[in-house]
Amino acid sequence: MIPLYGISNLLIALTSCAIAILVFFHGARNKTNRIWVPLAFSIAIYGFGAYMVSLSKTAEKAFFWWQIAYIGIIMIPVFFYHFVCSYLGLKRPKSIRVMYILSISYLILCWVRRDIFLGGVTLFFKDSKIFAPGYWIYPSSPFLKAFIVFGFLGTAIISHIDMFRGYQKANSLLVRNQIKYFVVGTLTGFIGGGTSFLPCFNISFYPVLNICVVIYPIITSYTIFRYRLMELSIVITRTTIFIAVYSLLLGLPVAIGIGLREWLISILGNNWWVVPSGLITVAATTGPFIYVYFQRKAEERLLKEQRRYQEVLKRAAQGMPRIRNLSQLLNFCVEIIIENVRISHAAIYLFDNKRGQFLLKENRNLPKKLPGYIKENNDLISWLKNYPEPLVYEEVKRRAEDTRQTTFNRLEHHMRALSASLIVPAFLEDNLIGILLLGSKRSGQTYTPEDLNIFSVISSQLAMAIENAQLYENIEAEVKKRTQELVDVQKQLVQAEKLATMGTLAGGVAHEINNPLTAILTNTQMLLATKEYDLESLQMIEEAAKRCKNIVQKLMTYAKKPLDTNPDSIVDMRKVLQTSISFLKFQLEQENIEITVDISSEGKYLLKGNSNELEQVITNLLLNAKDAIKKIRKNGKIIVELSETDNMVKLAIKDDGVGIPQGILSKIFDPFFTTKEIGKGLGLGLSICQAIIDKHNGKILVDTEINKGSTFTVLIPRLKQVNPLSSQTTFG
Amino acid sequence: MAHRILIVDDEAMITKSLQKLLKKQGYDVTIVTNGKEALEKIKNEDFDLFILDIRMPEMDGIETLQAARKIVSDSKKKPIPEIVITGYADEEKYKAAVELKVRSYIYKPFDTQEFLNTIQKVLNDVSQ
Repeated sequence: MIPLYGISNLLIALTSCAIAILVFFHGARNKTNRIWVPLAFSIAIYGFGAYMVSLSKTAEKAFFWWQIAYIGIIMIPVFFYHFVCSYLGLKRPKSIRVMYILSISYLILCWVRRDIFLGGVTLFFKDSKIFAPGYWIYPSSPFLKAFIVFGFLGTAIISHIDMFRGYQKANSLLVRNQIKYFVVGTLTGFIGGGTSFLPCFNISFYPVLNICVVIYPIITSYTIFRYRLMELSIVITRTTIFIAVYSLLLGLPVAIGIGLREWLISILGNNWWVVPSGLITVAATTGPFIYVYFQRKAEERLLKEQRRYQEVLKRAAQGMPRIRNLSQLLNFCVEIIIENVRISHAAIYLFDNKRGQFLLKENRNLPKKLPGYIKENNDLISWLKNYPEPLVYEEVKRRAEDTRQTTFNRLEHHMRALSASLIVPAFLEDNLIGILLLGSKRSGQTYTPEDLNIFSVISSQLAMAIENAQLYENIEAEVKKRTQELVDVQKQLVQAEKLATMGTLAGGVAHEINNPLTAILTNTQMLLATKEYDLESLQMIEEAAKRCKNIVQKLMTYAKKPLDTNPDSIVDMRKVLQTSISFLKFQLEQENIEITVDISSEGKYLLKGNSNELEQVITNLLLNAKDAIKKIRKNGKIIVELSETDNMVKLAIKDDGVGIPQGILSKIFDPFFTTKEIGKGLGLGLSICQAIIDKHNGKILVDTEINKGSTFTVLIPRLKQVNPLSSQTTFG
Repeated sequence: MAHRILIVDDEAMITKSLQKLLKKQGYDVTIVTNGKEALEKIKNEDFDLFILDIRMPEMDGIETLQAARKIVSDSKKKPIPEIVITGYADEEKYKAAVELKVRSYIYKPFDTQEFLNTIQKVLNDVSQ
């Protein structure tokens, strides 16, 4: 016959005691947990007492041990009620006080006059074939009955109703889950434990469900302390598994030894003890393995979810420094967190140096609109600067309730305003550069210390990644600035070169203007002298004046700044060539240089670029050609060919001048390299031409032979397609 | 008898204007627009004065001048006095003209009266 009741009570005693001790040393941080300790102890006392009852052979002994057990039993309702009120935040000081007074009074009375307040003891289950008989309090006094019904049952019902109401009122999924688990636990415990009272009412039902009382504290402790005390729940789990495994492994042989003793004797005679001993040995050896197996299984399940997303978060932390664009980085961070941690929403605030505020930079799934900025002197920020650790809303709230300090109240208020279940500060060295704001986990679970660790790691990684991204942006900005400066300087150089060549051109222009001016002066003075009206003279004057106007316009066109016009307009190379040549034609002819222009009619000469700049290039090349000729001869020939090859516009300027020696051929495009005398040119011409052609995605080629001449060929990709329906063009 | 003047300038505006001007003064003016034509004229006709622009394409003023002198000396004609019209930027050519001992130079754009005075002076000098 198995003393099941006794075994279950032993287990109850052991587990409750262990839990009480654990909570006492680890979890007595807040008031609610502190009430849990005496509750657990009361259960332990009941367990121990009832266990001893099952060992008692005499009624007297049994009664004594029941008295011990009832110390625990009597205090269970009041501790439980108090605990529930504290947990749900129900303020009922009066009823709690009354209950304490009643309970303690009853307790004392049970010791003083047990016959009145408890009753008597009777042996039950004498005829059971499975279970061992035991003593119960029966006949039970009306006081005991009243206690059982009103004290025990009544309190249980009231507290469970309170918890149900609390469940309904709870506005966080986390709290709801806690209450749910808690109720499952307490119901199990109360129903299970409650069945032990049945014999007191002369109902001969063996309280098999008493074992539930073991499960109950385990579940409830696990639930409550899962909040912020994951390590504790691991400890509890380990402890319970340990106790369960070993109690079963060792208890079973003992139970067999005791319960099946006669049966074994009948089989093995005097060596009956071999079986139990053998079983104990087996148990002792296999124990550790079984324990480890179950423990690992249990923890795996517990931590599976945790480990999975911690792994992902670590990977995220590694990936973050690679992203250099700040907004992409924040986006990535928030995405990863929301998806893998499965939280409701997230937001990031970053400190803006210019404004001295934390600006909302990224957010996802916000339940309500968050403030766009948080001031630096905000309580929350000041707190985080002093205590650089994550803030969990539940804990802040509890601290606010427990300590009633205004600091915590304000923190709680801020966190609520920000809809934050968790705020993780991000520090770079010692500066708070931002905060990561997280909603609650969709599973309703609380943030564990492991979570906080991981988030702290992520936030510091994020801080560094942000710094990287910002540095990169700064560098980019700096590079942009420098590039712009270089472009400006280049523009100035181009302009300087232009002005330098203007001297040369001015000579030509002066000459060009001279002739019409001579005509004007001559005719005008003639008319003034003769005082006659001469139509022909007047017409000549007019024509001459117009010609002066054209010449001046040409000069002004050349003098215009290179990037005045839209740098990316569509240019017809033919027009550019014709304009450049018309400008120089007079001068070249004056210097006895014949210029031939050959434009292949089949070619397409549209390209994207700057017509002014291209004119500058052609002018420069023509002047160079003229100079090359003039070096060896009084007259010469320049041949200009415009054609198209391979979708490139090809402009060749060929002279029969002095040519370029091989030795300097590689240097001619260098800035400030010149073979001209001082004062006759800056030497910027070809380098600027190169720069301009580069800008147009083209190239300049040189073919030369000493005393025979040089050919400068300019190749520029032409415009492939102009879609008349849209402004889009593709480059050839 | 009117003096005969040959004017060479590649700019039509100028030759026409000068022709008008000098005709009004009573001169007999022949105008050509390039060196080759000028040499043709000198070969076939007689002139009292040769006015030429120093800067011309193909055959410039200096070349024309030298060739003309040769023709004149070859044909044993009286040397023709020359007036060279030059622009301010024609340094080199001017120097060359100076070396060739041209009678006079005039810079364009020129004052009409001065021009006429110069012509008058040169013609006077020659007749003496």
